Amino acid sequence: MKRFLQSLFLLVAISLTTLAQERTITGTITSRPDGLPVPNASIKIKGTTISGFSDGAGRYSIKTPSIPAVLIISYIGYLSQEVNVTNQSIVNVGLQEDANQLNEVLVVSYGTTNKKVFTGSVGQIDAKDFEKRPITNALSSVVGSVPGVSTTIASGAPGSSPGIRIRGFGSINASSDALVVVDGAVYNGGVSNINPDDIETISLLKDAATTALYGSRASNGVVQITTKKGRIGKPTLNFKATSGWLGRGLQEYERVDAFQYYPVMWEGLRNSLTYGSARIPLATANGIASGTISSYNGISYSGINTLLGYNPFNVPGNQIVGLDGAINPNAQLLYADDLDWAEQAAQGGKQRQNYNMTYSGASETTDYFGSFGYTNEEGYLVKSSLKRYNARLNVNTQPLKWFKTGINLAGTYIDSQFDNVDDGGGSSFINPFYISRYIGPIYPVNLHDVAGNLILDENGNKLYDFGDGRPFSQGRHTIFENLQDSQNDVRAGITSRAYATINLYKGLKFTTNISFDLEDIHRRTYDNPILGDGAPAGRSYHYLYRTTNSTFNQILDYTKDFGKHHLDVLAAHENFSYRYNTLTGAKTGQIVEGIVELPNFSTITSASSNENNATVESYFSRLNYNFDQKYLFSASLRRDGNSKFAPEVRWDNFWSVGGGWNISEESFFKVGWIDQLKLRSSYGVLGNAEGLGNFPYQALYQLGNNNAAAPGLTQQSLANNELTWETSKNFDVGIDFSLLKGRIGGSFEYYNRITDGLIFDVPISLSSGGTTASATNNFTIPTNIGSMHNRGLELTINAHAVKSNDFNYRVGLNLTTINNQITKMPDQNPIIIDGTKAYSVGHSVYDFYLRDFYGVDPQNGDALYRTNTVTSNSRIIGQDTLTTVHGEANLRYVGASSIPDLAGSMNHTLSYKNFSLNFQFTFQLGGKIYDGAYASLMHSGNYGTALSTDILNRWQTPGQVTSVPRMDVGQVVNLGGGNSSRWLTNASYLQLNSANLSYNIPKEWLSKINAKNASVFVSGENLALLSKRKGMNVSGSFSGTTNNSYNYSRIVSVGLNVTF
Amino acid sequence: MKKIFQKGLLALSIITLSAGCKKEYLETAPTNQVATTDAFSSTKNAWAAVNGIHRIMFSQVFGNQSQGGQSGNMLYMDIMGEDMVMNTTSSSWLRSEYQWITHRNPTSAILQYNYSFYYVIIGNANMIIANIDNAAGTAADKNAIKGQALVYRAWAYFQMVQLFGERYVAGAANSSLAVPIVTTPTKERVPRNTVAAVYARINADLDEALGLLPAYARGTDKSQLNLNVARGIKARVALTQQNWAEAARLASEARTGFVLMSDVQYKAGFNDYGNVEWMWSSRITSDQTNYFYSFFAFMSANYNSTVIRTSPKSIYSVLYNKIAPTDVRKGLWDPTGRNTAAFPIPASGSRYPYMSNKFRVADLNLSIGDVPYMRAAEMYLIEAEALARSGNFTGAANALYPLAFSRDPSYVLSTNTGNALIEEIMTQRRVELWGEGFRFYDLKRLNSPLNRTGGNHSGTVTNGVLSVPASDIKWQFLLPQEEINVGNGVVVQNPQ
Repeated sequence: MKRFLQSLFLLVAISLTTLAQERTITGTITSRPDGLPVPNASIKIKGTTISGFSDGAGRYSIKTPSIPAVLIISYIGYLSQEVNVTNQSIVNVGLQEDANQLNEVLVVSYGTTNKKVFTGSVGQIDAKDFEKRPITNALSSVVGSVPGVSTTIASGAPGSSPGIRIRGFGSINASSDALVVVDGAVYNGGVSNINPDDIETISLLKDAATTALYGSRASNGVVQITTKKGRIGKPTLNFKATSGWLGRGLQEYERVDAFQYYPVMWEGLRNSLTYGSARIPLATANGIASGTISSYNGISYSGINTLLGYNPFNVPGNQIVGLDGAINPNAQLLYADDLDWAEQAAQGGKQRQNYNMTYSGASETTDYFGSFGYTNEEGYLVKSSLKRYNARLNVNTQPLKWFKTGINLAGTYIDSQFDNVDDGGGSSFINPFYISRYIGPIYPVNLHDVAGNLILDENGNKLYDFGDGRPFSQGRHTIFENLQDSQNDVRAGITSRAYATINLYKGLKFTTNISFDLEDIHRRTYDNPILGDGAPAGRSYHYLYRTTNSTFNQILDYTKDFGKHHLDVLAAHENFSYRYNTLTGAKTGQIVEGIVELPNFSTITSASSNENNATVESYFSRLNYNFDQKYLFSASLRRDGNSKFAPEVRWDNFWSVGGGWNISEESFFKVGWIDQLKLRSSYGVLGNAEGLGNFPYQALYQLGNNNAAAPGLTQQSLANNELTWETSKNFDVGIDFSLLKGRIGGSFEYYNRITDGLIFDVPISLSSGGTTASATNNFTIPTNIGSMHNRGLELTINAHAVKSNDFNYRVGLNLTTINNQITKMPDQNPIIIDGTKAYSVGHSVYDFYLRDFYGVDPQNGDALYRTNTVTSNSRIIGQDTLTTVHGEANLRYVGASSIPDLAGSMNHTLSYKNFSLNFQFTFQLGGKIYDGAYASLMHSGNYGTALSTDILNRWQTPGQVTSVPRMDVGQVVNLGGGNSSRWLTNASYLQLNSANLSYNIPKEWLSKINAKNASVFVSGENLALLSKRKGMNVSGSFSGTTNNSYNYSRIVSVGLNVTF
Repeated sequence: MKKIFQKGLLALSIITLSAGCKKEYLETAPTNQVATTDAFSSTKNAWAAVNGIHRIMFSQVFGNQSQGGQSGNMLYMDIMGEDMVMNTTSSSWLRSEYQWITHRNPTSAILQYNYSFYYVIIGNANMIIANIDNAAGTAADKNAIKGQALVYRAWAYFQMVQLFGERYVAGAANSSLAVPIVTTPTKERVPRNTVAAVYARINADLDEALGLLPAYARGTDKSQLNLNVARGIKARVALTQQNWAEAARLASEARTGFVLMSDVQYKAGFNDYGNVEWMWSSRITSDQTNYFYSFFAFMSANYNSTVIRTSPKSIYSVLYNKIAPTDVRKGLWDPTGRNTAAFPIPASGSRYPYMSNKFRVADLNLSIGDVPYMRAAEMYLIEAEALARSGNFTGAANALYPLAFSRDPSYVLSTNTGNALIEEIMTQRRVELWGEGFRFYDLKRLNSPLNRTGGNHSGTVTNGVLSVPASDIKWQFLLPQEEINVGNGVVVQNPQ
């Protein structure tokens, strides 16, 4: 009734004042169904250039010159609405959220596009997907986010990056890493230099149609990072603060304790005496092992206590283990609380803090975004920390109608401490993971007297036990050394992007982009003079690494709509150059304590410098066409020249074509529950030359191998003037769909990537000479000689499963399969063995090639391996020829691969009123992992080395059937951890990758502080893992191997986010 | 229209600016390496290639720490013999070699090293030999360069044939397989050649080098291979081939110009190639340090490395007891393991009976020291042994006398003959060259068993390997698995 009266009133008013057509319209924009105000929504008067924006409370006011008028109200993520205004002066609008998942704006190569008219395959992660997660490296958000993308979990070292493979494993000896592009230019710096809070989207470009504009560098896909820009509307200011705790994410393997360890090692010694060449009678051998007999046949022998070096018990050394091999029942540990090295190595700060401030805004002609961030992450391990300062300013302006320009400038400063695990998880004496995992459970961290009491220094402090008498990590102390030594990186980076666009003519634009990235790393390492590699003099190393990249391109872009035809054509030229400089110096002979700069050391041990350059020049072009958004076509061509190859083969062409059909746009298509259905496909030829070094085709001699004062050169590499790109032919076909008014959306895709000219570092016989440049010391020649394919299916489904005013539940599922197979190998090398794998036709790059473990001989506990050759050590059981000698067992395919049958992730988001809860799971089904770290805990008697609890199942008595061979210190290769199929383990897992709970503070509370939005949240990373074996880092590598690296952290963090 | 023209002009000028895409834009080269063609453009550069090989002799060529150039081979050859004793199992360095395990495991580092190391030298030598004739420079330089390369190649093959082949038997066919002979730069797989063929190649290279080197004077730089060194190597080869006359003659010629060191020099730590007696050695300077790869990080008495603190090496007590009390060399070992005054060791270091202080670093802060590869004393011993084995006992005794007397002032000319004299010479050789990398080679060339019994070798530390019969298959090293893998049927493994 009220409304009727109003209308009546207005009608009268209009009829009375027919000339007063200009009117001010006001109102509030809200979102449906929650009714919350929408700030910064755009309001335009149709057919004019008049426009405005809603304020923080969603209110707006706009003047229309004539009535009737049509208001167009739009806001990102909402369907735009047109409202006819005839006589009202108050127009309130409720915007409907755009549920159609195909209308997303996608960031692609050299531009953006709408998903609906796009023919390629791309997965996009938006800021809201990770802004509440306590991640220091933005790439961690890629894990489990996009189908077809395989990832490894990032290590526990602060700032480290997960491994990313897009659509299989593209290369063997060149790089399989995706190309990283930041704001349109190729980026070679560390992604951890970029503040995750500055990032708007991370796009994973998967198929040829999306990546072809990066041509020769895109065959492994592209990770495109786009940073934030100011949005039109009232300036906003945002503060975010998080604070968290972190700790070890992966538990340690289960290992035997001191009471179990001593008897097992006793048995290993005893068995070596009885079963070894000396054939000492059992009773005597028992006595020798216990330490009650010290010589036999005129030869001296030692007992187990002497060999292990330490007696942690309160009974004499020759009474620890009895002649029956059992631990003395009276034995008590003298320092039971001082045996856990892992715990004492975990002296890191174990915390993470992040503070971030951003401000942004825009007028009609200028937008700006500024941010400042600080992150402090302290790992759980001693001396592992990262302090990062970030700043960014992104300003775009259009001072003239025909001229637009902008600059996006970011600076980073990172100060980090890192301990000595960064040797690829190897067996360095100063790797705290290696030592704490493998040191026997009888060796104390600190120094004790014979009674077991701590020995203290004059100040009453504990002293570390350097263990000169310890057979494992003898005379070294990883905790002491990591505390005394220092390894520090100071990294400073500048990322800059600038452009100018000239509108030449209707639809015709010319743009030039210049990007320049600089990353300086100043690494200082210091080794103390007391213990370890720096002893006895102390030594200091300084390294300066400078990397610069610059890209300069010129792009002509023409867009034309005629009738229902839409055409977009681009032509461009680009130069890319890379420069890497090193400057290193080292000195030894520390003069005074506490100073690690070079003048404090007396003797120069090295001084060197180096510069490497690489350049790429390109011409490229793209055409996008669609008819009525129904029939889509795209094509691109790129011609690249690359300095890594010889002049004759330096230039090549890369191209793609793609097509799409929006079936649901057809008039004949009338299926009510399908909102949108698109069929698309693309094919293209791309290249890969990354990971080859900068001069892979050149025959070179290494300088600087001087002989005292005489200059010296040594042979370093052999030539291959025919070396060129790997080329991959990428085919993709997919269906994108949106159903039930956006309640369900997703894609189903098939891809087939065929890589030809696969580069193999073809190994040359050792007899042709050698070089340190290869791991096996022989020359290798990178040669385009193989082929392989990666094909698979990808499915992604997102459903808004429960939708109501208060409670909403969204669920997403990603599934991926990968079939990888080598289809051509070098003629000379039909099989190339690489660690636990071998490459040959018909096998994947991750097929295990091992000695094949058959089992344990129940008679004597020997390990049996399958072999091809009959020797005096072999025997035949059934169909199998077996040997007890590990070295005689031939390497062979054992029918297992590290590539899972199916991998994927699940995302669950539940929201109730102002609460929102999100979980992300990643999982893998099938595939095997070669658990080498576990193998080293299953040795048959390495003195001082820890043992898995599985060793308790070892063979002990004739007739015993078991899968664990005899303990025998004399046969550690045959019986123990020698490489074999024995260490393959099911690699299926389910991991709770991240979870977060947030609460949006009600608007009525916020108004008191004039805030627009605020939320508090709790987030966790790496919260739980279900896998076959405790301690096994099942998601740490693509190749399915384990090592002793700094395994991942568990982080739990609370945070507050306020926007004004 | 004018505006379009202006804008177009601006765009065009940017394009023109960028199209300075000169051809050189894509030409890049490293700054720490040179093209192989440049390395042999002149004799000056080729000299650098020769010095590169000298550097390889003491470089951390490969990743394993006990393999600092040639000294890695020296450590292996002594630890596998009976005259060096490992006192504890707690240090893993060289333990498996002491126990005779790793040289029979195809994937072990000792095989990878002993094979690759010598082929790296051969490969660098082959590059020099193939390219030196076309280099710009004097004939004298070319001769010296090529001569050194030939000596290196011969020496490297000689080292290898003794490890990977069966022992050479004079007068026999020696037709079992040794190592592939590669004499030109090649990428091809080459099958293994016979022991006889490898020795033929060694001798041919040495003979060619002996023709090229006479005019070459190396000055004080004993890392360079001159005529003396070439002759010394040929003397070793002849001794191994049981060519006694040739061995005696060459050994005598080789030591021409060198005198034996004094007692004072003998006790000076074996770390300086300025020593009058040294014929061939690397000179290792602090800025070319090989850190813990250094020979002295394993064998010295006084460098503070873990392996020296925890596992000092001792002499076989049976051999020690044969040394005369008046012999200067008796003082190189401490039979008590408690002589702290004469045997200073690093703080917290372990002491064992019969431990050595023959090798000592000059600067306690640095692991480096010059490593001797050939000394005049060895030439006296070769001459004496060759003469004795050929039946010339008087000549042998006379040849031995200057050395034995120099070490022991009470020594009198030997009146032994036959096996007793040979035994005496061999004992002198074992004592004199202890720790310098000869013992495994000697045992193998003489077809002697390994006998570690009756002294201070422990059943535990040796893992029961106290003796190995001369006929045992274990005297032959296996080829590294990598070569079998790459060889793909062309290169075959030794019997296992």
